[in-house]
Amino acid sequence: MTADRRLWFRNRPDCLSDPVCEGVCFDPATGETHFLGDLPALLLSVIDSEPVSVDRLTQRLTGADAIADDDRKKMIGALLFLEAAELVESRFE
Amino acid sequence: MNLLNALLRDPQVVRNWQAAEWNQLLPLARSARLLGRCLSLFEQHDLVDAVPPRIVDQLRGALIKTRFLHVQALRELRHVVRVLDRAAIESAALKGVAYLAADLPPRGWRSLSDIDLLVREVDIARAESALQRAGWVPNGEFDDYDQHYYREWMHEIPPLRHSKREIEVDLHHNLAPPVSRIVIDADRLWHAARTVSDGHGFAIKVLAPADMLLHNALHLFMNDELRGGLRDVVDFRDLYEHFRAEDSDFDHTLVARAQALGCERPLYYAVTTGQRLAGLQPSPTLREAVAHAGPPAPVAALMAWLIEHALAPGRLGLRRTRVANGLLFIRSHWVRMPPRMLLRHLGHKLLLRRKPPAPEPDLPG
Amino acid sequence: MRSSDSAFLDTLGVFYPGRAPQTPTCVYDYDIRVYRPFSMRRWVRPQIQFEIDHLHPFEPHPAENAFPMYEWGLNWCIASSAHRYLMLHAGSVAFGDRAMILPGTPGSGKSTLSAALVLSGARLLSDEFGLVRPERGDLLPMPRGIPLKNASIEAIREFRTDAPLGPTYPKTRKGRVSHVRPDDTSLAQQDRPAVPRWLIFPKYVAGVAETLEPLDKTDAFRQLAFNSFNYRLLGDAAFNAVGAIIRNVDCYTFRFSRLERAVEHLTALVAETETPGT
Repeated sequence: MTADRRLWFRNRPDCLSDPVCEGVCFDPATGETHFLGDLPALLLSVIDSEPVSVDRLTQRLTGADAIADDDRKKMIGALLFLEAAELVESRFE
Repeated sequence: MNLLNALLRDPQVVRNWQAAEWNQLLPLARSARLLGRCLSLFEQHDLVDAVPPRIVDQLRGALIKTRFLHVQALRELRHVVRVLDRAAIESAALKGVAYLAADLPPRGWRSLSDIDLLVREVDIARAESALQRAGWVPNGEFDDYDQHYYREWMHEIPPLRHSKREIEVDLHHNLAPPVSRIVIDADRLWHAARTVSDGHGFAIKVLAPADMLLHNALHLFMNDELRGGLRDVVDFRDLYEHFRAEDSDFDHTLVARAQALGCERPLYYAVTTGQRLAGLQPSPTLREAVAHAGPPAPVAALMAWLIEHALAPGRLGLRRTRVANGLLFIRSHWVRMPPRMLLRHLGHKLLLRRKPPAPEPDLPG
Repeated sequence: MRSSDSAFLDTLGVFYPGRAPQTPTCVYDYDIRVYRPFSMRRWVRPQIQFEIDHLHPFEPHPAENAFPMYEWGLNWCIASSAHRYLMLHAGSVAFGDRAMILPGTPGSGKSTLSAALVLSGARLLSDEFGLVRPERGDLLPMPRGIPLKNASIEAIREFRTDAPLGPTYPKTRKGRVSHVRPDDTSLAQQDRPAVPRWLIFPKYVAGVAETLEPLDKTDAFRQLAFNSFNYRLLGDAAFNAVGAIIRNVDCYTFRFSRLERAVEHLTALVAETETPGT
């Protein structure tokens, strides 16, 4: 999977989150409101302007160096979703 | 001259305004797309308290829509430039979106519904196909004649729009059409262009300050859509004041650049129109330079009349405005097409194409 | 507002009594004219033209539909310029200073339900535009005639035989239309804002028993944003305003079929909700 070898980052102002409705956030860079599931919301909170690999993100989220293949697939799916929503960007290493 | 021009020349006039004046201003400013500029003028001159609250509400409403369009325009610009960068095609932002990206004064109020970019003539076909591969589609239907008109006679390709977003993208390879009497060497523009950041660390090229003003002047006086023209005049004034405050030598740079690019006549029109209709105060240097660049006196007087009635009608819907617009429309084509081509184009426009009225927007009620 | 069409002005006088078209000392938002354009058609099939600021954004309509067209044109003006406000596509009524917001797509029955609530003593804020001041989160009233379409006209006649309905326009672009005149109290209090307290998504389902079900706040957020004319346009201001409304209201979906029972349910809900400070 090519997405596996990419670095992920967000080089824009942070999203605003609703204090009550979980996962509801507003992106000032696009003017769009998103209704994020748990995993994309978590991922978004650990991605910043420094481009990092999926492994590094895993470590940030779980503290572990490796995760099961299934979970890794889910992570990549969530990253691709965030990218399609223009919330994060990616580039090749 | 109308109330909007009076306001642009001296904002303090509103202190004496009654309901009747305000009621005239709103439609004028709305049609000239200058509602946002009116509000920023009132704010700059501490006049908001002298404006009826209902009017302030309307102006704020307009500005809110403008801010939304700013976000969407910068978003579209990032997308377009990213695609072009990946195809190794250099691009520069023009007009409204360039003012936004470079954080120039029109950013405070200027509305826009499309973004304009300059690419090199050798790159334009590649740029178009790169964008089309990435999801942009022609915005509207263009028959063979339209395609030919854009590609062969003008300095652009038919407008594009990404299928998921609403902002139109216009790619140009020059500031003046290749067939017009003013021929600009695009290499010189690229040479002087500078790189700015859009405020979020995204790098984008824009024209040099003097070239930006000359493009504005060219656009205003070669464009066939003069309805939005007064806004361009106000842009010119705001940009001129800004660049001059930044660089005391700017007048000389501008005049020299106009000579070098062969744009003295458009600069003459922009300066004289700005003075009459938008409170532009050119320096003695600039005034003197353009004084020699005007057309013969009778033509100058006629043009002043036409421009005034097209850009500053006493009220909306006047017959004189339509006549002036019609004549300026023909003139705008006259300056950018050889006569034979002009006749063919106007003939085609007048005889073959009568657009059906726009469908009514769907609304409740 | 100016018009040379006397039949139209008569209708207008019934709906907005005492609100003179224009006086020279008043500042207005739009310069609107409703008139019969001069042409041969004038004698055959009279038409009416809606003019805004000397421009004509719409095609002329048959003259007999002048009033529905005026109302529709006014909506167009508001929807295209009132971005000072978050415009909810919702009916809204008030009980004292507490507002009930009833968002809904066409056909959900929000106009009919709003009309029935107003005929039962609620104050009309608006049947179509919930005008929210984003910085305060309150609703500004804009009481106008409530347009009822097709079968809703009979439903309201049945609900209150003395309902103040205007003329019926058999052939508008929305079908058969008749307007409920706003009551005097609503008109008199049109400068009195109200604070959202209930958010109810109505859905008319023929034959169904009335059911009020609590709605998850995230779903309510999504649906309220979706049912707004200018949510995207207002950006962070709308995001914050919708969030604040959602925090302050009880959210429900409401399926109904009988107006009498529907009004009972909703007024009972209002009576159950404590007023602030008691």
